[in-house]
Amino acid sequence: MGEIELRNVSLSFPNPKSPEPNVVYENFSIKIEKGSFTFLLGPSGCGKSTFLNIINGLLTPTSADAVLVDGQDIRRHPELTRRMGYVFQGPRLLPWKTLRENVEFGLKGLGVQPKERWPELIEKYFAMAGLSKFMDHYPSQVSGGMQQRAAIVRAWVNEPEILLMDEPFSHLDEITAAELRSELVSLWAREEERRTIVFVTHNISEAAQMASDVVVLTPTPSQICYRRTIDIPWPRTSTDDAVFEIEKELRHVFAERAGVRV
Amino acid sequence: MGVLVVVWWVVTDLVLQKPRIYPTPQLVAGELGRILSGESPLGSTYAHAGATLARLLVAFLAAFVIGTVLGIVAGRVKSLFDFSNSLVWIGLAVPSVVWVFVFLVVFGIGDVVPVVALVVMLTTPVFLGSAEGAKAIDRELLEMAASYRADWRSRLRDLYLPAILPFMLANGRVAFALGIKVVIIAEVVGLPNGIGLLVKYWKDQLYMAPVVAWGVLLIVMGFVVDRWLFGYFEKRSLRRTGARVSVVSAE
Repeated sequence: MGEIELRNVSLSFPNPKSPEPNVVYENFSIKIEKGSFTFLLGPSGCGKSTFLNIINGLLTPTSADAVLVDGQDIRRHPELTRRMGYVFQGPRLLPWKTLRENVEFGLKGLGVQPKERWPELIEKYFAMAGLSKFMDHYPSQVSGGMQQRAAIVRAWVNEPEILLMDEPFSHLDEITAAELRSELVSLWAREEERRTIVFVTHNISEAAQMASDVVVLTPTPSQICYRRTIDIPWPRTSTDDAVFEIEKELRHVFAERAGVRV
Repeated sequence: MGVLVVVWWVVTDLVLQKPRIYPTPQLVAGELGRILSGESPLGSTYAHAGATLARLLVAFLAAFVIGTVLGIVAGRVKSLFDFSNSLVWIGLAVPSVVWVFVFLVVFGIGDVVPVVALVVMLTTPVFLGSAEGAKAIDRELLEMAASYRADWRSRLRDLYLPAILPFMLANGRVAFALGIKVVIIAEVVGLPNGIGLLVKYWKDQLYMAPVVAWGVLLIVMGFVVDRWLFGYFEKRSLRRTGARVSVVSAE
């Protein structure tokens, strides 16, 4: 599992300031390959997060021919969304629960069975995130970077086929963010059967460093204005010439086609 | 406190000198002793106090549960919140005696009247506080819970209730204090037993010392419950939210 496809999706919100609705998507179509690390790039407000919310079933499009995960429409098969993990821009942890309890909240909600497996899963992924010692701390007792790691554990712990990430590192300091980026990539690249990760960002170097596929969106109503695969092996560093070339190209695309200077 | 008692003593014993109407501290202390020994012309004071407390407790718990649940629902559904805004005023503005008379007509003399009147009056502040608390719940956390498909039970237990816990504590305090006042009024107006009946009996005798003594006892009880019971829950809730211990920075 892990292939995502949207066919002719339209979405608009009523606009309180004008009679014209806010059109986010109009006949938007996209296909994301199974096992890819796909980056969605675009200027702010171009409907990148909206895209994740549609796939996750949090938002229903105004109209759509299909919202498919592995060929099945999630609107008719909402259970498909239980096999996804979602990492938000902030950690969004429940402050009155320890890191472990926060992760259990996710497992409980997604209905991961059998319950006897939880401790094993929890310990495995906390160890991967380097948080074993802090499982029983409250979010307020650990740093922002550790909170975000716990949020990643929460998304990853049920071993989802699809991982949705909405600018997960944008509010962290650059050093912590760089560390988490390389950890995430190696975690993903290491697995035999890779998960599909859809990663939303407006950070171009982040995309050049991590992505297997890059999709650039225009301002709303969003359309794909550029798409390419990047086959530089991981781990990449931002000082690699090849990575730097990609970054340059992406900046160019942004300026020329997405209408944004960066 | 000591100064207050001295002033009281000077005013009642030396200036007014009408101890039946304006009881002196000594008289009140004597009555306190009589109350604690269980003696009264209408039977055991403990039986009366027990009846009053039982009513208060049952009504308080019912109002707390009803008010909290309805408040959470109203806080999460905007149309319900707007609708309830006018209803809430009925609960807030109608005086307790009116409720008691209305329910006396409907239910007749008995335990139902004060309990129902109390529930109606106490639910309102609990409802208001919970609704405001539920309205203030972080939208990002709600979205997170939706994304992880938390069912309503988990949302209630893991998200809504802990999020509004500080509001619930404030609600509990206000409702309990209000409850003490209302239950006595209900009993004065029309019940066969309870502290209110004793107070009314002594007032009819124009002998005020026991009335004041009961007032003192109620103040002490309210104070103890507020400090110890609610204080205990407040401390616990602070600990559960991981009261700011120093940030661990070893990453």
